[in-house]
Amino acid sequence: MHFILDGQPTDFEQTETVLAASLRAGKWRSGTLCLAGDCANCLAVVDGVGYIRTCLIAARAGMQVDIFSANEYPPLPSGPVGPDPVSRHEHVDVVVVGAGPDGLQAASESAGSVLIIDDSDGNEALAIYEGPHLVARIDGEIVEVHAGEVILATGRAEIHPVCRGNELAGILTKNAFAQLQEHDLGIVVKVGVQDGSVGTLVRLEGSGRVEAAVARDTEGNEVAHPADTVVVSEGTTPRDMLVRMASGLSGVRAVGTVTEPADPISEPKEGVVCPCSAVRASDLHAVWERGFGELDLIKRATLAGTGTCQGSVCVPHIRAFISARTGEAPPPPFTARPFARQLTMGEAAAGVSLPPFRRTGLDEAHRALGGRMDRFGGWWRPWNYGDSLSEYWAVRQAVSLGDVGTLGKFEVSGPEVTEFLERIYPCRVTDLAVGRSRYALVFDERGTVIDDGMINRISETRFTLSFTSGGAGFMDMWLRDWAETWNHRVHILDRTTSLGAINVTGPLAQELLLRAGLEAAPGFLRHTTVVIAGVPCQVYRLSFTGEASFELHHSFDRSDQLWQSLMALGQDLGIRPHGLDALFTLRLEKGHIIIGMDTEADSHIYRLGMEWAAKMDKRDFIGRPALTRLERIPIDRKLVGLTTAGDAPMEGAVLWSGDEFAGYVTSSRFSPTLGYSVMLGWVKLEDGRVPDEPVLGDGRVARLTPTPFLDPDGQRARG
Amino acid sequence: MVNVHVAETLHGRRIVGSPESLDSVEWPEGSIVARFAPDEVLVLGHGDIAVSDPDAIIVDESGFSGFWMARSEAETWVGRNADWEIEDHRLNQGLVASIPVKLFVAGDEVLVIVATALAYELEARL
Repeated sequence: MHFILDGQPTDFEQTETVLAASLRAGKWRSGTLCLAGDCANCLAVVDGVGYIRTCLIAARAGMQVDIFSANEYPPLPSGPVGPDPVSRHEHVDVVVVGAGPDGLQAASESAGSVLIIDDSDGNEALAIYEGPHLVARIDGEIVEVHAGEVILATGRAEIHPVCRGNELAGILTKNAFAQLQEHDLGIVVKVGVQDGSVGTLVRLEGSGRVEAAVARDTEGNEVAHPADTVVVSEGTTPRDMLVRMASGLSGVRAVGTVTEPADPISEPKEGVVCPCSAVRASDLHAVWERGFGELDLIKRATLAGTGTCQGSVCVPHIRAFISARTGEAPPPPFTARPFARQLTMGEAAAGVSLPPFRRTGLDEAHRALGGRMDRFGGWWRPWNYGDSLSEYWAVRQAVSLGDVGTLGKFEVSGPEVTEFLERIYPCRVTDLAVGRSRYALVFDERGTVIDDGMINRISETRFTLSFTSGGAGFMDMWLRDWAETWNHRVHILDRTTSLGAINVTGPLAQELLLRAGLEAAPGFLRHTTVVIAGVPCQVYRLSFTGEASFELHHSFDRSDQLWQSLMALGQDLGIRPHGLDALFTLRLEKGHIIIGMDTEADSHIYRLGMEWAAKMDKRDFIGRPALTRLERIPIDRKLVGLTTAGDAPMEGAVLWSGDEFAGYVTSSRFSPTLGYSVMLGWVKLEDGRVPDEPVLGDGRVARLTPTPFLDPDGQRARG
Repeated sequence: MVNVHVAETLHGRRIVGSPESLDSVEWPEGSIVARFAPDEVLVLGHGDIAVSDPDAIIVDESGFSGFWMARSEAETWVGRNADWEIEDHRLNQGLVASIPVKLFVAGDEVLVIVATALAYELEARL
C-alpha cells in the first residue's frame, strides 16, 4: 500500500501514521519532532486540506500528502475540497479530553454517559464554551458536545530544545524516539535523557540535517558527537491550551498532570524559539531591548505564539526568557481562545443554517405570474410582476390584488382585553365599536414608535390586531410580556402564519367583491365576516394604497383558491396583481410611513408629526411618561413631506441647506399621477422651524409639501 | 437509503385558553393533542371540543404542515441540526436547522410539525 508524498509513491504499513511512514521513507522534517500533535513541525496538505498534523493521522492508500513548513502558508485549494463536512450534536453527562492514565481514571470514576476524546484516535477537542459546550472533530465530523461536565486530562507536552541548529532535521523528543525505535535512525545520540545521555545540549551542527550534537559533559567540556538522529529531553510542560480556554467556565475541571507546573528550563540564547512564526532567540532579545517586557507584548511584537501551534512550543521558552530578566517566577501563559486546532472553512460553517424566509400561500401563484421575488420583512414577496407602472395604474384606475399575508395577525380575548389594549396602544380602544377598525401606532417605554397596524373589534371581549410584516415576531413577545407583567386576564394567539391575506384595492375593488359573493361592502374602517368565492373571510375595509381597499383574511390553505377566483372574476375589470414596487409608490403618494424605513431608532410622534396618534389624556399607556417629558423638549428634526421636479432621488439622498447638512430622504418615488417626485425625509430644524427649501445634492429644490400628496381628503379610500 | 419527506397540510383546531380549562378538556378519541404551551394547544382530528374558559380562542387551523418519521431518524436529524435532543415527553419544540419545529413523539414515530410558510425550507434542509 502506498500514498503519494510530494508527488512520489510512499509505502506505509498498517496503522502507521503519515509522519512515521514518511520518516521511514527518508523524508525528514526540519526542527524537532514530537509525534504528539503539540508542534507544527510535521504539517502537510492532505487531500487538499492544509495544516494537517501528519503525526496524528493514519496513512491511507492513495492519500495525497504535500509537505509544507511550519512557517509557510499552504497553497489554497483551487476548488472544493471533498464533501461538505458534517456536523452533529451529542449530549452526554461527562466528556473527558485525553485518554491517558489521568483521563481513563476520571472516566472510570464518572457516572452516566461518558465520551472520551483523544487525539491519538485522530479525534481532537477544538474549543470549549460556556455550557459547558465542547466542539470536537470526531471521525471527520464536527461534533458539538453538550456535557454536564468537561474533564480535561490532556497531560503534558515535551519541551522542544532551543539552541543553535535546532531547526535542522533529525531531532526527536524522547517520546517520539520511543515510537520510532524500530526505524533505521542511523547513529542516535541522546542528550538530556535519563538513559545514555551524552550530557547537556549545547548546539546542533549540520547542514539541513544534524550531523553532530555538541554536549557539555559532566566535567564542563563541550564534546561533539557525530549523529544522524539526536534525541532530546528538556522536560515537560502542561498541555493546557484547553484548560486556559476554559478559564472561568463552570462545569469544567482539569485533572492529573496537566495541572502541574512546567519543568524549569534555562532561557533560550540561540536558535529558533517559535517555529511557526520563525522567531529566534535573538528576536526576543531585540524586542525586550525595545521595551516589550511582558509575555503578551512579546507575542504581539514578534508574533511568537500566534501561529499554528498557538504557543505550545515557544511559550515555555518565552516564559523562561522573561523570568531570567525579571528575576521572578515565569509569568503565566497567555489566554487561549478557540480554536485549539485549525479548521477548514467548511468545518467552521458545518451545521450553520441561515435564518429561513417564509413563503405565503400564494408563493407559487406569484412565481407562475412571473413575479420577481425578493426577501422583505422575513418573507419572500413579489417585488413586481414585470411591469410596476401597469401594476400601479391597475390600483389607481381599476382593481388589483396584493398579497398581504405577511402582515402580523393576532387575536386577543379575555375579560381584561380592553384594559390591556388601552395600555398597549396610545390611541383609545374602549370606544372602538364592535365591527370597527382603528389605525394605531405602538410605542416602547421611551415613547419611540416601534410598530403600527390595525385594531379591529370582533366582540366586546375579542379583537384582532395587525402589525408590520417584519415586526410580527417581536410584537408577539411584546404582547405576551406585557400581559404577564400586568397580570391581565387575556389570551393571545399569533395567527401570522396561519392566515393568508389578500388586499383587493382600486376603484373597482368593491365591484369585484360583489361579484365574488360580498353582499354589502363594509364601510371605511369597518369589517365583516363573509364568504368570498367560496372561502370564508374576515374582510377589513381600510387603505394603505389610497384607494378603496378590502383585506381578505382567510385560512392559509385557501389562499390560492381565493386568489385564482378573484383574478378570474376581475379579468374584464382590468385586474392585475401588484408587487411591493408599486405598493411603495402608492403608499408614499398618501404619505403613509413605513416603520423602520421612515422612522429611526428614536423617532417619536413629535418628530414624526403624528401627535394625533397618541391620546395624552388617557390615564396610561406604554411610552406615555416619556412622551410627557418629550413634549416639553424642543425637537431638533422632523419627518416631512417633500416634492421635487423630475425623477426621484435615491432613498438616503442628503438634503442641504446652503453648505450645511439639512437631513436626508427616507422614501422617494416618482408619482405617475402627480407627474413629479414625492418624498419623505428627515430635516434638521433651523431656529425651531423646518427650512423652506432644502436642496438635493444635484441642486434640485426639495420643496416642503404637506402630506398626503394625493387625495388629501381621502375620498378615494372612502369611496 | 434516503427518506424523502414531504410536508402535508395538517387540519385541526388551535385553542388558547386558561391552562386549567385546557387541562380538563376531554379530547376527541384518536386525536393528536400537541400542547404548544400551557395555554395553547393544537388538536389534530375530528370531534367536538368543549372548553370551559368562555374567553378561550378556538379557531380552525390549517397553517401547519407535517410528516411522520421514525424516531431513530428524527433523533439523527435533530442531532445533526439542533443543540437539543428529543426527550420522551410528548411534544418537543425548538429550532432544527434554524427552523422552528414541533416534534410530537408517538412511540417509535415522530410527527414533525412546521408552519406551512416554512415547510418548503424544512424539506430542503432535511
